Amino acid sequence: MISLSNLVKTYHGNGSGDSKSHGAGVVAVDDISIEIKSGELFTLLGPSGCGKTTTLRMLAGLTTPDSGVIAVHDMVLFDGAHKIDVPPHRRGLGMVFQSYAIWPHMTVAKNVAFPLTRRSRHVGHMKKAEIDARVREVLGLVQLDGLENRPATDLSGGQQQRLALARALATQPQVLLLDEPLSNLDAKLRELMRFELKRIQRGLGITTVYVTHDQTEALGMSNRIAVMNAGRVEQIGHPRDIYERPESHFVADFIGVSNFIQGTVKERVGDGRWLILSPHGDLIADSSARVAAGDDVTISVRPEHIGMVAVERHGDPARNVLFGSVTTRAFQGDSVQHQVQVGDLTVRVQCHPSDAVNTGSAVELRLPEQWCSIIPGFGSARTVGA
Amino acid sequence: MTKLHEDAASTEDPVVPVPARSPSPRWLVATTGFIARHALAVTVGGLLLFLIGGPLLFLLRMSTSTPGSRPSSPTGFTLQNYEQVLTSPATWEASRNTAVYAIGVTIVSISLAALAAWLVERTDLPYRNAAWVIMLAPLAIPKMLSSMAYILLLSPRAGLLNVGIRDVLDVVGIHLTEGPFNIYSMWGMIYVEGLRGATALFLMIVGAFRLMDPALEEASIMSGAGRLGTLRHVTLPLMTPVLVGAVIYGFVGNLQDFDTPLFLGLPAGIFVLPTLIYFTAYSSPTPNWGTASAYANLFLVGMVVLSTVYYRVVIRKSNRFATVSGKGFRPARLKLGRWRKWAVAGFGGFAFLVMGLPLLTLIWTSLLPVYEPPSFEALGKLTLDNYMHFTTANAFAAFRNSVGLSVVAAITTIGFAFVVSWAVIRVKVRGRAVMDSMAFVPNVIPSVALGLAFVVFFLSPGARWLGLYGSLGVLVIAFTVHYLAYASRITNGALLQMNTELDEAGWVSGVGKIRTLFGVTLPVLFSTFVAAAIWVFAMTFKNLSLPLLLSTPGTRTISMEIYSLWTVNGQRETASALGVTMVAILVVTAYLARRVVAKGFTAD
Repeated sequence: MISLSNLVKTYHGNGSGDSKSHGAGVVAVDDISIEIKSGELFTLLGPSGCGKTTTLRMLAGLTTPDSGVIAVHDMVLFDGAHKIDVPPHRRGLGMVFQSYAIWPHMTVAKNVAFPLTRRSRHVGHMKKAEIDARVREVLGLVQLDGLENRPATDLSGGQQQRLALARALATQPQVLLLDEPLSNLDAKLRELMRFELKRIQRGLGITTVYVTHDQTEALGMSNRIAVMNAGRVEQIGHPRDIYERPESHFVADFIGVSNFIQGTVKERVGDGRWLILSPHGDLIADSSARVAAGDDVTISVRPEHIGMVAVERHGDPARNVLFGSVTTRAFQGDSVQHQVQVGDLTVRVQCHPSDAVNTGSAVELRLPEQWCSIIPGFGSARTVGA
Repeated sequence: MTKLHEDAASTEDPVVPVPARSPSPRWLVATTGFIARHALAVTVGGLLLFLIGGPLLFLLRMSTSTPGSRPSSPTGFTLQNYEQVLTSPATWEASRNTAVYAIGVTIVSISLAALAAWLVERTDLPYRNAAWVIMLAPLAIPKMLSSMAYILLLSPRAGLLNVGIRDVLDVVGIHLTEGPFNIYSMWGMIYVEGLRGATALFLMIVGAFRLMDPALEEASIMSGAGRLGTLRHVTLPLMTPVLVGAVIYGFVGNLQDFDTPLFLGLPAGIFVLPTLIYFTAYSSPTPNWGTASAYANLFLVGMVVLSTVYYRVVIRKSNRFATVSGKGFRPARLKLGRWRKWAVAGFGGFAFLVMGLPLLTLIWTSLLPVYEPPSFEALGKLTLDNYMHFTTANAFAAFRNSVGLSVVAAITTIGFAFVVSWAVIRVKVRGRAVMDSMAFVPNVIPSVALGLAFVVFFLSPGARWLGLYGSLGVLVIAFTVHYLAYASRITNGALLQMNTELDEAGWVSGVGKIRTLFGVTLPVLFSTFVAAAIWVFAMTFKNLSLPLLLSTPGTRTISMEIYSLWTVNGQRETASALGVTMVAILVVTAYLARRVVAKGFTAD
């Protein structure tokens, strides 16, 4: 439904408006292509500077790509090669800004009504009564009814955020764009609004593109996620797939916490299962990517998937079993985090408080095959938590 | 005895400060401190009172003296002058003209300034640096030169453009003996000053445009409003407090405008209050000081009222319209799209009308013995003779006077302002609030009234003994008082910003306050003050109204020289040559200023 093809955006030196540019500049978006399905909540997730906001703004029309094609519902909004560039106020999209951008000189109702009065030039006039009805309807949707005549500056942060959402939805746009809408809220409110936003989006069935650096938001709200890094898309998938089957070192590291074990592929041992030899032991791990015998790979396994038992080492280790000793542990309330030294490798293990193991104990770590993901290459050698 | 002391000393803390010399008795320290603190207050306060209060007082005195009496010996006490002023139809006509003129100029100026500020700061206008220069450049052209140039272009009979248009119309079959445009009119005045006024207002509002959160406009764009709709419904309403402040400031300033009405209004008999005051005071056969003073006083009262309104309105507008946001992505700019060419053309047109055309006209005129429309034969007559005028005693003396006067005035203004600010902010003398207000009072006094007040004051018995009238000293004092308000705002700001710890570190190290002042404070604030001093230099160099009122044949300034060449002698060509030279000097000054300021500050 939304198709972004081969988008590139580079920022050059100073922004003085002169056409000269000095030096190579910063590549903010490096040839990305994404297909977003109708009705889904699609999240662009990544650290600052990864290009997610730039991509969103290109879709909105506020930033012009250097090249590429943007199409919504088969309507081409931008095509670098054919010099098509629909101006942002004609694209029919709704957008919520990070700072909400609520107009302080208007009341709540006027803020929401503004897109209806402005747009009616092109789409056909709405009578005042119709506009009022629509305003009330959409304010009710975000639970701001009753506040129509309040000056917009009198609202709290959370209310302003909902007002921004109402304004974006007023014209029933085909696509809703959200640029880190929850980052200015306190933690409790953020959690509440996460559910609210999801409820409203699922209820309306509106195609939504969401930009955030917060993985909890992304994992909790999205239908699909695109993890971005340095202007490129690292992985696209459903939240569970992103979390449980990271395909690159960056994704495994950025999302949640992960242990990394380096090894070499020995052979294939089953459907999508491979035997990996590592200095710490042999492991069978899962991979959807194509690997071959002899490849250098990294195995990523999450702390909460590792089974830990306090027991002395006996005999040769079986596959997917590591022996080590607990060096430190930390009580986190709903879990206990352990650091286990396995040779020169520090492994993070998370378990329920009732299964915690004392520091100094020798332990056996069981790494279930299905939770060991293979990532090609060695990536950076650092272990999480170090 | 001594041994006891030694023993006691050895068991004490080993670090005992040893005084360099024997300490002064406490009473002496206290007294000198008292005198020093209050001496500063007394001196500064006294000077302010004398230089500002004195002239105003004598202006009042003069206005109530019998008609026909002279400032040197004001006689009687009567309200006849006021009666005459209030019943004269000339007064009301001039007042009406003043209002019409000020409103017209303000409307033109703020429209241009707002549009320019929006284009430069909020859109993807190309060549933004050039646009900035175009907006600031008119500062290098004295007001009277703009009027002179447009007289050369659009005076009804001989104006170059008018002649050209008449020639074209002749071809079509329409024959006119004069016109079609007449610059000696209210429209002419509003046009010339309206264009010029855009610069000052632009500087006042452009900062706010720059700081506005771009998301507010982007949200409007995403809501479907185009560029114009966003400007109308979001940008301008949000900028209202800033725009209102600028409008009122501009309006108050335009009410007291003197130069343009002098050149363009007087020949057509169109008076505004400032020119009426000047005319009344100096018109032959007998200068009517009493009436002029009455005019000045009434005008002054009106200005005070308006200025009070201004400060009330501006200060009371709270941060209801908070538009500055902390988060910045990058300053996103609206895309102008197909309007780009028009915007660039607009700036080009503005530059042409405000600077290009006038300067070219003046240069052309300055190179001819008798000014005439451009033609091939005219080219043959080009000569530099007019520039040789500099070698005559008059022009050279005027030139020397101007430069010297402006340099001295710049130094004394900044110096005095600094002393006042120092007393008010650092030393915190008693009565500092009053002192600070007094330094700001001259801002509301129109320059004509101030000039008149100074004439009256320094001729009066009260200050005659100073023997300042007729000397350049009077002009130095007048300029200092006139620009004191502006200068003291700058020195206030600089001192407020400077970390007090820098001074305190000096004092704690044992360096006296005076030496700290010279060794620490002044060097740190140096570049700010130099920049301000250069600004004052340029303003005094361009000023016409004060020299017109206060200088005598022996103390001519370059602006006076140009004025008299133009009006009295009708030597427009020579006047143009001197004018072009003035502009050249100001451009060099601006360049030097940029160098100094850029060196003084680290990368912004």
